[in-house]
Amino acid sequence: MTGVLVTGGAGFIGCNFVRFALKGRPEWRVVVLDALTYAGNLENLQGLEEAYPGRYRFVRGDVTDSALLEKLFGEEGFEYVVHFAAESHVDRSILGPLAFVRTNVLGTAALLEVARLAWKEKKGRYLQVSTDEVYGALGEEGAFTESTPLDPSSPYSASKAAADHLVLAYHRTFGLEAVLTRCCNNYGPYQFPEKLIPFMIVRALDGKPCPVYGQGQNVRDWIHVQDHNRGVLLALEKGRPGEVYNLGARCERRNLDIVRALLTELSVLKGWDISRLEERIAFVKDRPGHDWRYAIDPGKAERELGFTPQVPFEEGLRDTVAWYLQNEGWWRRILSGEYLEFVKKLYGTQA
Amino acid sequence: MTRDSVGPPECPCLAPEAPPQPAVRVVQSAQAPSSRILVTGGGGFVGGNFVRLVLKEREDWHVTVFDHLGGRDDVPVLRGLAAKHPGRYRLVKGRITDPGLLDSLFAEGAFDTVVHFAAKNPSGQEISDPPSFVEVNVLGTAMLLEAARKAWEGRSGKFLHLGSYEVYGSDAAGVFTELSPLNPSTPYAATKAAADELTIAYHRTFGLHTLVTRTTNIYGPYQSADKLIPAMIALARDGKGMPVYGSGSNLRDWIHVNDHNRGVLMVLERGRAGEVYHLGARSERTNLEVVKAVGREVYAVLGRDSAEAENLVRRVEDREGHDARRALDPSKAEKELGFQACIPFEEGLGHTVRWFLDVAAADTPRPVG
Repeated sequence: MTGVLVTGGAGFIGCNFVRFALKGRPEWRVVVLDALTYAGNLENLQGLEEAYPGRYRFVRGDVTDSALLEKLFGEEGFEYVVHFAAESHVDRSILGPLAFVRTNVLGTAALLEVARLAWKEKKGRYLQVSTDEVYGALGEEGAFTESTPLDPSSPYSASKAAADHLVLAYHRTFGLEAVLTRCCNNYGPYQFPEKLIPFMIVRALDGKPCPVYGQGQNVRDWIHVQDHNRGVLLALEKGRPGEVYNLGARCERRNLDIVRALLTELSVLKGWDISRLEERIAFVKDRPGHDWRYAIDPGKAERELGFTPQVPFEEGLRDTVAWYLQNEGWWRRILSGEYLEFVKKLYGTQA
Repeated sequence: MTRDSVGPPECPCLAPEAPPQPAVRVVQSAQAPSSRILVTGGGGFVGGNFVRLVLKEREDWHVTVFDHLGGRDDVPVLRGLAAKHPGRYRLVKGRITDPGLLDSLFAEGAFDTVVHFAAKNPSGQEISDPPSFVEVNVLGTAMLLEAARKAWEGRSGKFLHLGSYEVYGSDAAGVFTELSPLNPSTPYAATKAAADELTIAYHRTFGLHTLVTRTTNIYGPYQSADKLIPAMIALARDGKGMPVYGSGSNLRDWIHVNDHNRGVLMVLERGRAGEVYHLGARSERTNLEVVKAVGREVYAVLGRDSAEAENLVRRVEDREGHDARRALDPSKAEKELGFQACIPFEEGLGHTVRWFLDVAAADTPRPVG
């Protein structure tokens, strides 16, 4: 058995990765470490213990807790670490930046240090999951490559850039076999309903207007979470240590177009009057530090790792809309806060 | 040889205690006449010299130093300042990561300016316990930024963070501009890059008037004894061998601490928010040149034959491939702010040597034999 630690495995991208890995890597034993703060949801991992007996373990804990990390490394002898755990919502980083620095920077520092000490004898590989937001904003042209200088605009992206610097420095200074991936905007099942796509779906289903920042002209590059996780797995297994790999699907869309596409899908599925879609959109004042455009060049991952996204955007979006319609209970329990009650009941503490 | 015959007349920029002369440009305050400034890490070498400079050249500024002083009650660079500048200077001992401390400090200090020198710096080549550096340098900076942002809601204030050249790569060669990509190669350098990026992000996201300065090698009075120039002064004074690694041909850019700190003041008073400024003296010397110059100066001051000093140089075959040039291009600060270092290296070095031999010797008993 190959011991694999997946931090943040109860979050959106993490839980999709855990499912993907358990299915695709039968020799892996996956240990999920997740603090189950608001964005982690145990429901996302439901059924895995039964489906993969002996190959899956859940541990509730904070990635900044070095003692816990040491204990887990001792018990499980990890060969791989995939570090998804992060505070990730930009708007929340504006309201409370320090939580982002604690989780994203101190958490990465703690994990790197424990891994370094544990892997002095027996080698292991570390993968840091990062974001294209560390590159800052683009103008109308061009795309981020791995050599684009980091230029973060928000406390969130600065905290992710900080973690990236640490990971690469650990490779250079200590020879840690660390690989870094930076991905563009993800969408797909289990995404927390504060993020653009599920947020808009949920708003529209509740008959509320979909709020769009500014004129909705900001451009984002989209990838289905499954494609992202294909890239993470490739980078973990085949990436050169100390290297950064951009992951993207060459799929740029304006925010307004995303909202329109979603509303169109929903209208088809729900039988809404398609000529009155615009009435469901509300333009709101732009937020501070809102980057204009992101676009990521995945050329290096394509060439070196053979990375090829397989989910066309329109298809992925349709499936995602359908998933949210089919899993209304899942997101209703999030919106009502009931999912946190579940954690409280299970662990007897405040989530 | 007497001391008076050493070198040209001393540049008044050198010592805050020396009276300014008209021939020398003194930075004029472009800010409101009065300012309440918080200086974190003000008990360190560069921060302490900055505090002395501000107290002398900004007569209506009130300075609060925030520093834990490594657990000591007092440090030489701050000694006597409270008595000399009554009502304008105070020291608050504490750590920036202490929860709640910054909020109460800001509430009661009513600062309009923060200059953030405080950082955990490595003492040797490699650092132990990297997470502790992350805590002080990254979380500490974030906590300070956050305290300033909350205190300055509806008001204005300026926040300046002192960065490090190491963010461009600890062994990186070349001349760097403010647009060069950050590429830190050690955990320490990574924490400094992170602090810089957070500082800039606070401008972009919250509109806070934040600034970053970076510089190369600083020297001058009060520098700690383990740094190159003070260490070499002590060795030369005691007639001991002065080690030079490899060929000694690594080029480094040297700036006197007072030139550097005048640059910090200029950036604070005139710099554009959200910008990074390099402060450099365009004074590149090889390590061998620096060590030799220290030896000559020490011998001259002590009345020995300065030609003899060269015999103290010892080549140490080590750390090969470190002959790189590393310099920060100060053009942006020169063009935008009119920054210009005014202390030539040899003059600043001469002053520093005399300072260490006079002042440091008075405090520290010399080794016997």
